[in-house]
Amino acid sequence: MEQFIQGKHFSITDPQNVNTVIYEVNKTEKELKKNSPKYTIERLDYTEELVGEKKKKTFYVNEPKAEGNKLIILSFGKEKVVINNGVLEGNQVLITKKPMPFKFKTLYSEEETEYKEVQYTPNLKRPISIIDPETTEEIKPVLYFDEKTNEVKGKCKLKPFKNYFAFEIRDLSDEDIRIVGGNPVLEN
Amino acid sequence: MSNSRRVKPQFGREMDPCEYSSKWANKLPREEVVAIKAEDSRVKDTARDDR
Repeated sequence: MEQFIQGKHFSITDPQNVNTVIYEVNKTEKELKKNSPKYTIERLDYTEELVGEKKKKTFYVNEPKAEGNKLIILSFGKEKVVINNGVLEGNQVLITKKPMPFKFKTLYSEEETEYKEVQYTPNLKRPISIIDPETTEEIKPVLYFDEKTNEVKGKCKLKPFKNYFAFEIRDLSDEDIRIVGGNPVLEN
Repeated sequence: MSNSRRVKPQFGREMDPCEYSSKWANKLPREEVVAIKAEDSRVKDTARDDR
């Protein structure tokens, strides 16, 4: 027999050309901290349906917490991302009315460009997420063992002159959140 | 309250960095937040199924 647990879901509507993703953020418990990142993020699953020309997205929080689930909301537009936060508390999600837009640096190239392999070794204690704003998919580095240096390294494929958004959680407490992010662009 | 400021690049010279810092929505006055209704959903507990 299938077992079920109780979760929560809520819906938001994306205007045309906007794509929202939501992450739940958590502080790592003290006893796990030595070899773990201080903060972890997990993207919420969602389903979507078209309502006219807008997309209604329903996000799922699998494990609602008594103290609330802390959420980072990233809404990607063509040339910017809007950063906001929310907290799932009981039967409601509270979202601030003061999101922060971050405009991407735009570079133009007449040339057709192909994806390039870029050295990017993730720091497992300070994970950085890289997102393709067009698809909102995360760019995950592929890990490999470098026999010359005897180290595990990483590489990922990025397209020159294309915008990406990278961010990390720098500080997190019960009171506030601090994120440092940016817009890496390969200039070929 | 959220704010934006330039910070030293952290991820390489291609970065154009930004910083977002804000109080969590549940720590802000009611007039500074919007509330969206959240409903119960039943989620398949795969961990329990694996046991």
